[in-house]
Amino acid sequence: MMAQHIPKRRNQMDSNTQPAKEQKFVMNGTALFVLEDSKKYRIPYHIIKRAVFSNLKKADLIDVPHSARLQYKLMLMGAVIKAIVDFDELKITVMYNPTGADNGMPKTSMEQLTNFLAQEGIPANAGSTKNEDCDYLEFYSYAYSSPSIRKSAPYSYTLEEWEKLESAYIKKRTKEDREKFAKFREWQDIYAKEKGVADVQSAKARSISNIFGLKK
Amino acid sequence: MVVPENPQRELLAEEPYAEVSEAAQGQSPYHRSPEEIDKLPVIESTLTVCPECKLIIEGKLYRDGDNVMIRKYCPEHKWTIEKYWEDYDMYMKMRKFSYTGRGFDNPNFVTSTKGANCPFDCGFCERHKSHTALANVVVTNRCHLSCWYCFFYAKEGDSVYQPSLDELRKLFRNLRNQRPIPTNALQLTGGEPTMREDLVDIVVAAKEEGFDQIQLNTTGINIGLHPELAVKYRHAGVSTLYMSFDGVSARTNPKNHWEIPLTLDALRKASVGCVLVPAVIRTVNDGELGAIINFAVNNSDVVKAVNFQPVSLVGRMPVSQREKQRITIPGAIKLIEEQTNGVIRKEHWFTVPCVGDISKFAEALTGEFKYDLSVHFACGAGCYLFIEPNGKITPITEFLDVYGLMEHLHSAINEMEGRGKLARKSIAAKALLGIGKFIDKEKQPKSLNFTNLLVSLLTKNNFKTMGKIQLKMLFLGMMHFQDEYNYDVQRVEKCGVSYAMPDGEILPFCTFNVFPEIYRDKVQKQFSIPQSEWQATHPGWTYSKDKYVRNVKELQGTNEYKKTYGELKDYFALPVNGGKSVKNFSVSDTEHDGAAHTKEA
Ligand code: SF4
Ligand code: SF4
Repeated sequence: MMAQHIPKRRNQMDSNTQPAKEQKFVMNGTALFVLEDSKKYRIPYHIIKRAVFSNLKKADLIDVPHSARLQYKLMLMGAVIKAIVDFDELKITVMYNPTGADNGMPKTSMEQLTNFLAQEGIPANAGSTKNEDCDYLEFYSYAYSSPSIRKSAPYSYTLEEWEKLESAYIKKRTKEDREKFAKFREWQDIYAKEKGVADVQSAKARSISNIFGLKK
Repeated sequence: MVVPENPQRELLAEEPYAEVSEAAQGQSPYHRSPEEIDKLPVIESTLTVCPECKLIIEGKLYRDGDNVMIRKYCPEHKWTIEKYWEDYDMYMKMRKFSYTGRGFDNPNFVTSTKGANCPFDCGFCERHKSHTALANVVVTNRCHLSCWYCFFYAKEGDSVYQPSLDELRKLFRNLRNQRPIPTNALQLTGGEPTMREDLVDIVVAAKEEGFDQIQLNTTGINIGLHPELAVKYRHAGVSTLYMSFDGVSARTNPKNHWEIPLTLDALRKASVGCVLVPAVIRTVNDGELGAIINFAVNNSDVVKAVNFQPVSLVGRMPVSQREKQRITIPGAIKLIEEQTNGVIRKEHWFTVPCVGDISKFAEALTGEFKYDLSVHFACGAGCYLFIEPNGKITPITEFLDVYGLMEHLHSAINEMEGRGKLARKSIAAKALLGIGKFIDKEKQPKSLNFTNLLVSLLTKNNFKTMGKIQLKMLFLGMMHFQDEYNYDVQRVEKCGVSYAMPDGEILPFCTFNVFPEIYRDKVQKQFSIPQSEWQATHPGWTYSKDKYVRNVKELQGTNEYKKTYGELKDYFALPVNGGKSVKNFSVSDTEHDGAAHTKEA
């Protein structure tokens, strides 16, 4: 039996979410990077826009399958980074790369989005609209450090039973992982000797020369 | 139609097959009229997509003769009819093992829809129902070949997707952070991963992040031509090569037919195992399935598995072409039975989730999370072969009643529920004492004590003692990736094969690749570098320099080539295996010039 409860929950498409850790945004020529723990990671966007169309009419969104298809169609647009069409909440949220943004990616405007939605049967004046700046890193950081929103227990244990076992399990797993890795290191040494390739311990071996364009 | 929050498959009818009119019998299931189809018994309902407009619509699975078909109706684009599974009895048998696993405690993408828009809410969203069993990470979209059917590689002028080592480490860490069961199996894929000069470092990083199993999805060509790479990759931590191999002849396998002998030789010397991966297309290579298995048995010192992949029909395709090329898991299984003269029969295969009770049993006994293969029953099937020193091939299910054993374990799991540690141990011990009755000792290979192996598997959840046995083993697997015609939302929401994307999301294989326009291609493009920038940062690089130029004559002249294809033994012709030659054993159209995929030297 698998028991679940929901300790906390944060919608990624909502505003006011915070990046999980200290990040710095840097630009190198036209390329954007985020600096984390002094490492550089390429990102396509920084400040983008979030458009929220809410209080929509049920009749316009039709049902869940049509809402899902509208979400798909929005996602087809190169400038749309993420879209959610929520039939239950009668709300459309679109994260997009706005015209004028300082990056080389496809761009769009609120006007173009509204026109697109109108073509899809959602009139511009259908509900209330919000269009605000948002940080792409919020979305990106959440996906890279997603918190638990529920808890599972091993099969045939209740959550209460599992809570008593969990810390011992984590300790055991950490120990096993460490031992496994140590064993792997031992195996590496034996293997290197066996194959007569002591220099492969340049497992840090930086270059494997001439493997491209194997011309004969 | 409103999508139910937690849709479960409901068996609509198990009524006997209602025969269609005599005139319609023998007619292709693709060509029946809607009225005829309406008379056929519906097995169950699922959700699917319209291949044209992607509306989520109801899919009805129905029986047409021996076939399970899927039919769907889009108000705009009308009917789509497709083969779903080419054996009704096998379908009914395998579906019994369907169960719902657990998804993720910490899904990477959380929205208010909670996954109601599946398959467009990836990912992973909180609706997903399996954990990642195998994770794929694309390390480059550069490739040294230019296969006409491939959508994965950068063409001339396309931007280059090649994450840095730090970026890859971040992806690995993200996968290892999945809760409650972090994946421990990783496949590095591309493009062609061996195009990266720092592949060794990437493997080292993956190992450091905690992956136990690291596979390289490769053509094997670079390794064949540079055997020292096999040693370097193995030393860094690569466990297995996952290698395309579409047939034993040059006609069916123009991709790497000529280099495979060199690659196998390199792997042998470096003690690296490999999985041969044939994509199976009806009318193209479906005549060589038995011959591929025979080839694998011949090389079972290094080939550890064959993973058949019935074709996934990508792009818009007329009915006539789908009808010609479509093959499903049971279709391939039946051909294997025919082509191996009944040595590997259809009843020898088991569906992937049927082994779920093994992990559940181990969890119930130990109170620890174990790997859980809760994928959909229609996604995959498997079969272990034992090869005795005299060449006799024995499928595991010839002497092990897998289904009986699973039922036996299942009742023990139920009994353990709510009990204390000691009681659980005693129930488990009793169950383990009873497993002997599911093994036919007369039929098991002579040098094997399978009971001991099973106990090891059930108590330690591994096959470690396998290492001590002298028998050779070969695993046969099947995985039928989906396409828009046979798409089943209830399959994809249970998917256990995922892709980690650079934006931090992690997706199932069958959304990543079936809807690349909103997932794979869209996101990779965001994180790619224009070819001009790539060129500027890699002086001397040109697109054409990446490409491999094959010298067919030279490769055919190697001893490895002559030995590998010229000295093949027909295992199925041995008296212990029935003494009839495997179909297409002597396929040898080596005159094929290989020009279909590569430039001529
Ligand atoms: S496939 Fe899985 S992750 Fe994707 S939308 Fe469906 S349930 Fe969610
Ligand atoms: S990759 Fe596709 S075929 Fe394989 S388990 Fe996932 S949904 Fe099923």
